[in-house]
Amino acid sequence: MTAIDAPAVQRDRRKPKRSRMALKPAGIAWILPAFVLSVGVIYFCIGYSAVLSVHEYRGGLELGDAVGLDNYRTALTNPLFWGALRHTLIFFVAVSAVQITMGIVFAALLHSRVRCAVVFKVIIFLPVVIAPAIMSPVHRRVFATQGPINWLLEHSGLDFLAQPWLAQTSTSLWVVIGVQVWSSIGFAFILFFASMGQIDPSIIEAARIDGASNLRILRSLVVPSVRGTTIALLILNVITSLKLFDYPYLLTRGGPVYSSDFLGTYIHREAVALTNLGYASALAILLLVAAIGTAVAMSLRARER
Amino acid sequence: MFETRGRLARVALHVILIILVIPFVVPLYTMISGSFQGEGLGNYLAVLNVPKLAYFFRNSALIAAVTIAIVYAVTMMAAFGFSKLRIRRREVFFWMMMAALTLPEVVLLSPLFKMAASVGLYNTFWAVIIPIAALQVPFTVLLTRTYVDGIPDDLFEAARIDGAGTIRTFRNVLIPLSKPMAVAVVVLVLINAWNSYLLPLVFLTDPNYQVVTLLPQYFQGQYNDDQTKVMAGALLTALPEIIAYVSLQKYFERGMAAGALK
Amino acid sequence: MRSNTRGIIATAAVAGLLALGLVGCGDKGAGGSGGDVEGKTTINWWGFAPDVTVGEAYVAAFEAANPDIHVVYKNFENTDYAPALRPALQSDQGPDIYEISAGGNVAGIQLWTDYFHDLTPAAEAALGADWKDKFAPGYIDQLTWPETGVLSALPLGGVGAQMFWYNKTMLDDLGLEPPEDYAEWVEQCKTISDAGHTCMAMGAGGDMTFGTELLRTTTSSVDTGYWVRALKGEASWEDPVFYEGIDILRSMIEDGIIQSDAIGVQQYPEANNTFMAGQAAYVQMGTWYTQYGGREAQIVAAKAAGISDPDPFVMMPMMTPNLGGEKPGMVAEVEWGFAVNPKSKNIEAAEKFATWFTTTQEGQEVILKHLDIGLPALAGMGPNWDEIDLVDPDVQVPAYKDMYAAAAETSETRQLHLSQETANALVVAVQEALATKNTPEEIAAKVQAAAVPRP
Repeated sequence: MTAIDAPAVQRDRRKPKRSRMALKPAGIAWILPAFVLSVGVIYFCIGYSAVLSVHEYRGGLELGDAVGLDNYRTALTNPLFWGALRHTLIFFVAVSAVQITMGIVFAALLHSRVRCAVVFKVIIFLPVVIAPAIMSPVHRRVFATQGPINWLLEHSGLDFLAQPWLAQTSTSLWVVIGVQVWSSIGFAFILFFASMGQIDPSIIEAARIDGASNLRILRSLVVPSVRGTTIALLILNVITSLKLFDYPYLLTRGGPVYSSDFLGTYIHREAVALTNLGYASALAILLLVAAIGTAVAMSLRARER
Repeated sequence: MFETRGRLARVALHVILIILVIPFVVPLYTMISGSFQGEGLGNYLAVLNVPKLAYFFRNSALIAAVTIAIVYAVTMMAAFGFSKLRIRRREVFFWMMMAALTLPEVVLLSPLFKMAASVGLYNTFWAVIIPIAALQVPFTVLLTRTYVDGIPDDLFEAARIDGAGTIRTFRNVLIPLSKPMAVAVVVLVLINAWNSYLLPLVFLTDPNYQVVTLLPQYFQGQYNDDQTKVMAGALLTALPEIIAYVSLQKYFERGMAAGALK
Repeated sequence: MRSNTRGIIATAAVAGLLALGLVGCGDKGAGGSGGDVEGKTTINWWGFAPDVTVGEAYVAAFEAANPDIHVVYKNFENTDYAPALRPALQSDQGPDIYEISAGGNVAGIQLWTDYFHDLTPAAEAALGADWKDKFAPGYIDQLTWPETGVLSALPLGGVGAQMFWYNKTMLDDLGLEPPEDYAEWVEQCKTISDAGHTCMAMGAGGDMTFGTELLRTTTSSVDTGYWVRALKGEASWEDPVFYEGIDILRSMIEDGIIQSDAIGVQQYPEANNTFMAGQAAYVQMGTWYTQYGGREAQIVAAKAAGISDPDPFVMMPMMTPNLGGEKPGMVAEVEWGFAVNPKSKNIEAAEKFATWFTTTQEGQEVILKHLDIGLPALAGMGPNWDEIDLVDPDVQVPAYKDMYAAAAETSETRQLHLSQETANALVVAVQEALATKNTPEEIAAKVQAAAVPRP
């Protein structure tokens, strides 16, 4: 049990194993409750959005004119749409890299013998718990021109790096990324902490007797064993990045000048500020396609490996 | 995980941990000190004096408890099914569920309202519990399935050879072995149910049905914004979540020490 | 081990059952919407203003005068209001009373055209045939949908803006008087910053309209009246007046009137806190700021801004100085009104609620007591200044009265002609002006392309 498979990875691709699979009891009844609950509720919403997306709809009692795929065409030719996707990609890569690395590091450190481990766990966990709406004014204070970050930079000889983080189109996206990393490491930590518990201590003990160092064990033993969790987190990150709304909205409103705009804030702006509900629904359907497409592609790649 | 032989290594381990934790502490410190600015402890008293505060907590606890119960039950079953049982076109089912994760809340609001109103659940807790559970399930199934994949098939086969039926295998093998992930699932669903804001706001009109996320409204409005009390309220609201996490964590570590995963 | 597992399952089952039981009880308690409480008619009121506690005070006053009606108030953040209200109004379980304002994208009248219940008969029944004349001028027209002539809502009060507030205590200490023109203001700001204070606290960030309001102020001081013509589509945004307005806004940063990171700051809570904490000499706010002129209210606001032992200062309104050729004066309009949901099952009670606050002296007094609604909706009414514990009544009362008079006299509206498309385009224009090097011509061209006139 060294490698944990990705969700979509079946180890039984080869024939002899498939026959063994046939011996397994049927499982459809077991997934039915979950399937009915989520698919039953949310697919109605997806269908509803799909209908709106081919209409002009400004929020009245009646749908407006049917416009075919016009809303989709407008979206796909709109630089704001592609800008939002670009931000999403940068965000996904940056957040995933830091979140997963730090999640593994913290989980490994806290699986070691540490004094006051609970204190550390609570500190890492707190950011996950506190709602973004509450935390955002605090983060705005932290990144303010007179805030602690610039203070630290100015007092550590890095004053040339101090800048109005929230007021510049060049830095606003990085503020959003930083805050998201801050609030999501704890989440990765919980999952890695749980899945590291699956590693057989005797394997680690054996490696240690062979003279492997701590870092070596982490790299060659621990990281591969939690690969399944890593892939699950990446898939979740694809989806959260694509529909990201809370932090960019609360910290920067996607600005200045759309520099930290995401599909989630774009959809919100079209649906709420501009009441283009048909267009907003088309964006939501595009988001759905993009999220599922990327996630399936990712898990197929994981299967190939 | 890391073994530290000798004092020096142990000190180094702690120093690294403390340094890594500093970026977490800065905003938390800013928040906690912010909650004591202005009227100091008075901020907390003001929060505690919000009328019907007990209802807020009771309702949130209720919504969270039922959501957790539902999500836990269906997630464990689905993870078992997806990972260890025979299902045709399982990936199709799996990705159909994942698709339910992707719609943003603002788009969901209108159809959910239509649905709740048409089946007469508007202004009942179910109008909040069912959508929250529906939105959490794909997420928890994805995580738990990955985890259950990591439990060796041999254990399940051994149970079957011993003559255990599927239900008994589920109860006696899967449930105990997936406890660490169950803790994670419970905590995650708790966070999401406890912090849900827009759904309770829109679907629960009865004043006795208010939930904790509506607390900041008392200190934040059109032309005023008392961040000191908002933060005090946020810290009080976060307490149950932290307590739940810490106590579950302890339980889960005991489980590991007992050699549950061997 | 095994007993542990059984333990959890048992605990979970008990908790689940208990919870289910409670949920079940909850269902019974809820009844249908509009259910009766002790034989009273219950009506639901949804709004974006006032704040929860003030709203509850309104409800208490109304229930005291109308014991047969029970009101439930639900307050929404500005940004949640429209998305929550729309599906509710479409269903049969929406609120009985909701709120409408003259323009903008929070609750602008143009958003709700399918959900009007004509309040003309109710207003006429309450005030007689000449009912229109009993309201402040313009308010009824602003809440009447021009295409159908339906009166969508009854006005609660008005709001005036395009003005500033200053900390007179600070200016006195520095031996300064409020400026008459741009050059004087720049000169003053040097003195103020040298003394370690912020000159003007400004939050132009986010999608709030405060940045837009400052751009409107600078543009209107080049040519008063141009802004409304542009909103209506009678003038183009690609116009030298607008270019100059953008230039003045930019120079306010270069010349040190507003701080260089204004676009990264939000008016609420940040700029508001800076001013309330006594750290800034000026702030751009409207008539609603009158509520902080009182000693108690100001102490509460300063504590909310994090000051533990606040020392109230004398807060004074200031009309816009001559920034680009003229003094533009104020803008004002109805701030919001009560609308009745046509699908309400208690239309009579809902109409009573709407008319009580807007057409009776008793109701208007309840609203005026909470000074956040600066301007009365009923003609001839006004705040009772003697009842308010101002920090320095001798200077404040005359100034406040002048401000109210200026707001009542102006004919220029605030958001009436502002479509949501134009509102969004202008928010972005302010961001471009303050965070990019784009020329005023480039910025204006984008506004012109995105704006949708509302004649």
